[in-house]
Amino acid sequence: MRTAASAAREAVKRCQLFSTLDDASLDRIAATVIDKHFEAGSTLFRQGESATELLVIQEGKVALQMELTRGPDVPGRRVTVDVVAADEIVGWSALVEPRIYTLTAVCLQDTRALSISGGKLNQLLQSDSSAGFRVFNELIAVMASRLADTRHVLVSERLAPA
Amino acid sequence: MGTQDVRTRVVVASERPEVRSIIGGIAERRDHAIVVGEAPNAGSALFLARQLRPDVVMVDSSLPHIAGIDAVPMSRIGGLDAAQTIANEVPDARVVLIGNLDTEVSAGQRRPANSWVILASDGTSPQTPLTLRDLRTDADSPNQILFASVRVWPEEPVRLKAGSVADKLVLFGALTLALGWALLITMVFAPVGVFIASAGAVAVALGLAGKMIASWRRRRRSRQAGTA
Repeated sequence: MRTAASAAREAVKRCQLFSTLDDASLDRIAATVIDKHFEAGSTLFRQGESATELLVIQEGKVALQMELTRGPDVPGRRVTVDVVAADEIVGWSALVEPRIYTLTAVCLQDTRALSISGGKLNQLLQSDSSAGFRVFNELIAVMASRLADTRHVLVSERLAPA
Repeated sequence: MGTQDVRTRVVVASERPEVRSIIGGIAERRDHAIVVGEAPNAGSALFLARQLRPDVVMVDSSLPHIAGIDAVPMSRIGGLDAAQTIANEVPDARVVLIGNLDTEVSAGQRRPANSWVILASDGTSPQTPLTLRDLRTDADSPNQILFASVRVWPEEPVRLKAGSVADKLVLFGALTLALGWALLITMVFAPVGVFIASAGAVAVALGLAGKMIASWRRRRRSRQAGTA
């Protein structure tokens, strides 16, 4: 019979960031997760806020938007640079200094996510250097993928009329 | 002199024609609205919203900014941006962003438009079917985007279904009526036959009345959900 702990471990393992970890490391991380629910339209976090948690999406879709400032007299606008779905993460800034969210996350649908405290995760990864290396290796892959996707979006933006 | 029925004017924005057909069909059939414009991308949606000044703009969250690049799903993430821009620049229009069209509506969709419904929540209660007329008159939340989703609306056709109480009554009544008539014909058990046939007729009448009430309730539920 699946327990809540094993369900949490399975959910964490499905995320690319933690997919290469062993069961012991996964259990330690799964023990810290909190299940959270967000309504469609709600904001998970805003660009510039202190990054305290990383979220692993379980259900729903989240848009990541960048605030574009055009000058002191021109109002800024937000541009979606990524849409994140199940088993993907948002808020990896909670792992990286200066621990400030670089994007704003908005739920496009009712969303369920596992919240992992950035502080606790950093402590776990520092105490287990092997797990830490693997997680940050995967984090680089996630960031590279996001950069590649963002290029497509920026090209589209350049073609957009004013 | 009667009151004019002002139809809600709607712009529909989605890259996919089948999605525009479904959303437009929902608006026209359920809400007696009129689709005044269709946009395949965010640029067109903004242009139409500025020019036509619709009452409601329905936006697919997977709308491309200009044109979607076929092999790149990331070229189709302009829906929220379009919704935010329209909400800021066309304050009289209510913007509805539908977040699950890319997963709920498959390519080559054959299900008719009237089998779908748009669901939205006001934040305090679960999602309920959206009524564009009420949305148009709601002045409490200007410039705000309403986040919605589509679902197949489970409307069951009115037909004889095994298992329902009304159907069982009709069946039982018909059999009893037949038995009563059979006994009547014998003349020997005529009084018993009259009694049994009468009971059967009453059961049939009750069963048919039950089916009519169930059908009326279904139609009333559909009307409350916005069916024309």
